Amino acid sequence: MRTDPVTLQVLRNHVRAAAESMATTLYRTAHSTFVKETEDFTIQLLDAHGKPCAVPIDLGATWYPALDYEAAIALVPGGYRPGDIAITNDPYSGFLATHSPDIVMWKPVFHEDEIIAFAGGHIHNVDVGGAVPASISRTLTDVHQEGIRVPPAKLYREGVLDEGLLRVLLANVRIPEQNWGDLKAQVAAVNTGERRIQELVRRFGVRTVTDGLADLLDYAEGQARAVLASVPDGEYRFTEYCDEDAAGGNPLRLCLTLRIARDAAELDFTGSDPQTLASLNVPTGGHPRHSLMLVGVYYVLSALHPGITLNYGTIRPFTCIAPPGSVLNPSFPAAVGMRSLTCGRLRSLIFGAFAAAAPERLPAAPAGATSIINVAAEHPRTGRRTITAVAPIVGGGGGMPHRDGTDGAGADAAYLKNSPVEITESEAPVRILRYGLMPDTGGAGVHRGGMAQVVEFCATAPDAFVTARNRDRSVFQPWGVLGGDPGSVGSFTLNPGAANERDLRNTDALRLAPGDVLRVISPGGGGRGDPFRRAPEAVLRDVRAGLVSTEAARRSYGVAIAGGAIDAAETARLRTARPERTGFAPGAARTAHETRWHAAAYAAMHEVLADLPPSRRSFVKAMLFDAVRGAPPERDASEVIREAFASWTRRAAALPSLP
Amino acid sequence: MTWTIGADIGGTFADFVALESESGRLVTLKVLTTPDDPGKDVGEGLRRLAGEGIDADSVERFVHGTTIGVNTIIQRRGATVALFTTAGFTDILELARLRMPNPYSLFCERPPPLVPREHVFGVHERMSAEGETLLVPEARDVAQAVAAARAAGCVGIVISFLHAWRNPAHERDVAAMITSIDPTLAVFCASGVWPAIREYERTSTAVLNAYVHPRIAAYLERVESELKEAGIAAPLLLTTSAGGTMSAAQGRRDCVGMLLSGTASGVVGAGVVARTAGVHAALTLDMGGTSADVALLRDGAPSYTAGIEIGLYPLATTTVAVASSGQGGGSIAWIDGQGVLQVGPQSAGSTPGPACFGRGGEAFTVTDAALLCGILGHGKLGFGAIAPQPALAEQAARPIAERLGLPLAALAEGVLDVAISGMLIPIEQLLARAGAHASELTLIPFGGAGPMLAAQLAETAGMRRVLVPASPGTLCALGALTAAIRRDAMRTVLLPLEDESWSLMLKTLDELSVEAVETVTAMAGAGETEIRRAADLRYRGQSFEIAVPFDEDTDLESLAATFHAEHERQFGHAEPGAPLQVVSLRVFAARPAPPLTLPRRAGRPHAPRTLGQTPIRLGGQTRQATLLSRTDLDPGAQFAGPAIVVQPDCTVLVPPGWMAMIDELGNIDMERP
Repeated sequence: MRTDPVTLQVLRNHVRAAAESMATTLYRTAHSTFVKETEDFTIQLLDAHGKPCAVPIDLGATWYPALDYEAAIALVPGGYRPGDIAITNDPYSGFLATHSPDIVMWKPVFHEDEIIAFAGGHIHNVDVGGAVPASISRTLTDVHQEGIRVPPAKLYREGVLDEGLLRVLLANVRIPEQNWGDLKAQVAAVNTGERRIQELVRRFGVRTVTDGLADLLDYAEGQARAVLASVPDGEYRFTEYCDEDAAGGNPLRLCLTLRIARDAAELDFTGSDPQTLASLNVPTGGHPRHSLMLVGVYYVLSALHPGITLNYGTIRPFTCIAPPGSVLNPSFPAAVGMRSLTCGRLRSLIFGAFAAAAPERLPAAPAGATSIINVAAEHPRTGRRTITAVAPIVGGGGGMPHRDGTDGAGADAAYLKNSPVEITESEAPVRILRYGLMPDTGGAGVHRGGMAQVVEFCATAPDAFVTARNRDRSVFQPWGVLGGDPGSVGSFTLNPGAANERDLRNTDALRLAPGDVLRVISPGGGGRGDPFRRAPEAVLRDVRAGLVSTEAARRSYGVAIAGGAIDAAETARLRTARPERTGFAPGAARTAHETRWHAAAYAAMHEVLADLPPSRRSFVKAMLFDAVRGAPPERDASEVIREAFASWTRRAAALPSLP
Repeated sequence: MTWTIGADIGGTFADFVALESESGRLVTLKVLTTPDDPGKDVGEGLRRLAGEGIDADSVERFVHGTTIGVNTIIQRRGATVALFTTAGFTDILELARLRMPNPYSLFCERPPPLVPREHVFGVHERMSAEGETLLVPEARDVAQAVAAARAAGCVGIVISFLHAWRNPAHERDVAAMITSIDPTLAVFCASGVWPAIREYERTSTAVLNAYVHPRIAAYLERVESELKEAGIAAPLLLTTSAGGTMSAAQGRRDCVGMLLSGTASGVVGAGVVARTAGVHAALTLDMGGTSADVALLRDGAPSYTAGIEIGLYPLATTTVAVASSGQGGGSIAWIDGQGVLQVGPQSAGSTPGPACFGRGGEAFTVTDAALLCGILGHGKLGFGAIAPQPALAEQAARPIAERLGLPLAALAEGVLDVAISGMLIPIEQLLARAGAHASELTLIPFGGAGPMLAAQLAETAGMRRVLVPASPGTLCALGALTAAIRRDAMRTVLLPLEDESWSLMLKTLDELSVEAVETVTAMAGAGETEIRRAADLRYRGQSFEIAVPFDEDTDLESLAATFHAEHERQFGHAEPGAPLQVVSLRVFAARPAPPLTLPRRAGRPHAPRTLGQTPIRLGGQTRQATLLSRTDLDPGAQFAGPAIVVQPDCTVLVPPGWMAMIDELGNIDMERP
């Protein structure tokens, strides 16, 4: 380290204070309620190369503490002068913004003629134009439909606003005053960051500050390497599935081979599915350390080292391999708006690989799917058309080494906040009928998974339109570990218990008829450890609390409860009657899927897809799934895939010649 | 001769201030707290005050602040209570607002609810958002829940139904049903505790109230009997979280109103100092053994907030706005895995305390570091209770210094630098939230450790002036003396700000005024009650409100104009013409405390008597500092840093480059030119 161990901590406190001050300034001055309600924004203090050195902890989203600005910074034409401020929201220029609503901004900090740092951050704008209000929908197929794109460009030149750029931007969005209000809040934040860095230079001298920023990266790197060194070396493979790769589509498979060697790790995502024709793609440009790929790593490191520093140094020991044309490295112009659904699965993929590497230290899968339900309707009282969020509907955490998963919240969804029922009902023609925990949904285990959430609601106005974003885990369950049960799947039901009940699965939009009731149940967290080893008193406590039924206590835990007390003899009998269970529990749907679509079948598919241009792969994948579905079950899927592809190639070649 | 007495119970000491209103004679003293026998310390203090010649018959006012409520929550020693909610919503405490502290960790957690799930009962009832009954609660349903709650050993019941902020009728009906079944149960309606919209925060507030109620009620009885024993007939007044006072009878019901009483009255006390010294904008710093609290003052008045957390449980009532950091005099220095020096958040507290206290503490703390830097060690600490021992501090420092390869003095200074820079984080957040700039602010330090580090903190944060009160150790008790008897009444209305709403707004404000004045009169007797009114406004769709004053002349246009201007000031933008919403209406009724005149003494500029020179370590070098005793410092005394001022309740450091002057009130007024 260049800096002594006292000065480094003093500087660390100063830059953290500066980052918190930037975040508070942005939060205070932002225009859209979106920023204030969901805190979907981030702040970074960056070194002269555009690598984040410090981020706020108390405010904002959790995805970008190591977001690399370097490529985007270099794409701005004409170099930088003091007072310049640049922006971009183009997911394909420098791979800084990861979908079009995220407008990222940065400002160089000069000392004399030299750039010594940057201040940066992003806000998720409510709308940036494009095909649909709010700019993102799973149904969109290419990035041009997702709103205006600004490649890295200066919004301010030496302190002077580029009115032309601003007018073009605002002419292309639906609520321009909100975008402009939020941009001004970002300007206030980066100006605060610039001022605070310059104050540090005055106080400590430029050399101490630049050395200190470099050492903050080394410091975080050292912490991360120490954690990796404590995990056994080896190669750990894990697979995850999103229910669908498009509306009504096929499973979307993500693969990870985690190779840990001493204090470094390689994350090889080879084998993951091709980019899709829906907007579920994760634009990373194949960056070996894209922040979005490593969100799961932040959670794992923070669990293994509480309070670990997160900045670009944290991810230096990690190298990602994301094959071009895959859903984790899509080719332009694949749509990316709903990458958050895939990112949820990407996180549990990383959790799974690390749980394989250090099973004694990590939890089972969290619920892993957060439904964002919006109701658009005209309010009968005010005549105004409102769009209101109900909940978000989050599930429980996975069973942990030291305790049960948190019920109805926690793990990698803990940054989300709900809306009070009273506010929702006051502002929108919505009545919430039930909002609580769903018993018997957390995977059983020595430490059980957290329970799911359930929300039931109806609209009090006719023709209400409901959108449900990020619905997943209606098919594949959150996995259990070390003998624990998987958590239950989520569900989306119209008129539950009534004659006209309908299972909506992962439907993401529908219109309600008068009197219709919707019920959303999140997934539950996975369990950890054989549930027959759970202390019977803990099971009784859950039964008394109404979280586990007497039947489930008997069936899943081998605990007999009669008259509100444990029947010790019967419990002993139940528990000895079954051999001890260990290992991984993926759930029945996944087991069934992998029986048909085994490793060889996937290998066959990837082999034939590899030669196709990325834009065509999703189409061919759908065709191959249809072929396997249509083939007799006794036929091996690999063969079916090769035959179907050969037949398709023949037909494609045999197009009629031009007259 | 009439005396008023303020008594504030802190973590280590119980502070007493007595003021004779005509002569301005001020008596301050400290006794050790008795956490195992709460109230005994109050009796001891009263006996010592009598010993100072304060006649029980001449005591006109006795104001008390206590942390017993907060301690009950933090230590989870409260009552077993049941919660009745609207059926379908029994998980309100389990779900909270979903967001959890430390959201980056897969292991993030929050404390379990104060009412476990098996003590929560759903009642089939429903009110609409407009306050219309959709489903009437039934006696049979309630009777079943009461039977179950009693069987579970619950001694109190909180009723919290959806939309009771709009119409509390169902809550009141169910309360009556419960009382008719079992009059011994303590029953609290959430709408009666604090009728604000947002069901989780309102329910949590009511649960906190019921949870601490039995212990607070018993404690208040004990203090009243101590007063009686001492022959004091003045009624017991309690300091509130909002910086006012209330009667003991009110405090028995409104327990949450006194949860932050000590913290708030410290800020109020600093406000008295700021106002009398003519300081317009100030930052208060209350630094004790385990933490440092900071708050903003404008013209001596604190800013308020609705929505803080006590041990992560939301409290929706109005409180003085305070930000905290984990740096106190007892914060422990250590070396992390990367070989970097850290300070806190672990604290040695008051037991075992810093190593130099010689009470068995082995960890090297901020106080030990200050001793090795030569800032402390010129007399006993804490009113003569402790003689710090440098050898013990050195012994604690040595392993850390050796690992870092630093001389002891350099380590000690480093520990202070790290602690001070850590305090910067909550300060920057507080300033950014308020849109305030450090350079405009005067720092007013108090608490045992505040004055010791204040000037260095001011330099680090960019403040140029520090005002050390005459008696920094007893500022909370001073604040208690000056706080008004006060009642805040609030109702959520959620109305559009337009002509059709106006008459309902006025009617609501009138009703709130009557309610608040009646409560104040019941506490303070007949007399003139001051009334202030305010409306919490926001742009439709926003989630933040701004309280806008609402006086006699206010009309719709002026109310809107004030809101737009205030929005522009606080947030940097406004949208004149955009529709506004009235979220809540508020009335603050206050009966001011008898005016307090702090004794002023003019003095000509002069150089004070010094105790000599003493070496201190600052800025990487050892220098000679002037040593002074606070008792020798008369108004007009002037001296330059580096200097150290010792007094019974704290030590003040005046760093090099600072000029200090004693003002007419006995404050040390320091500036960095």
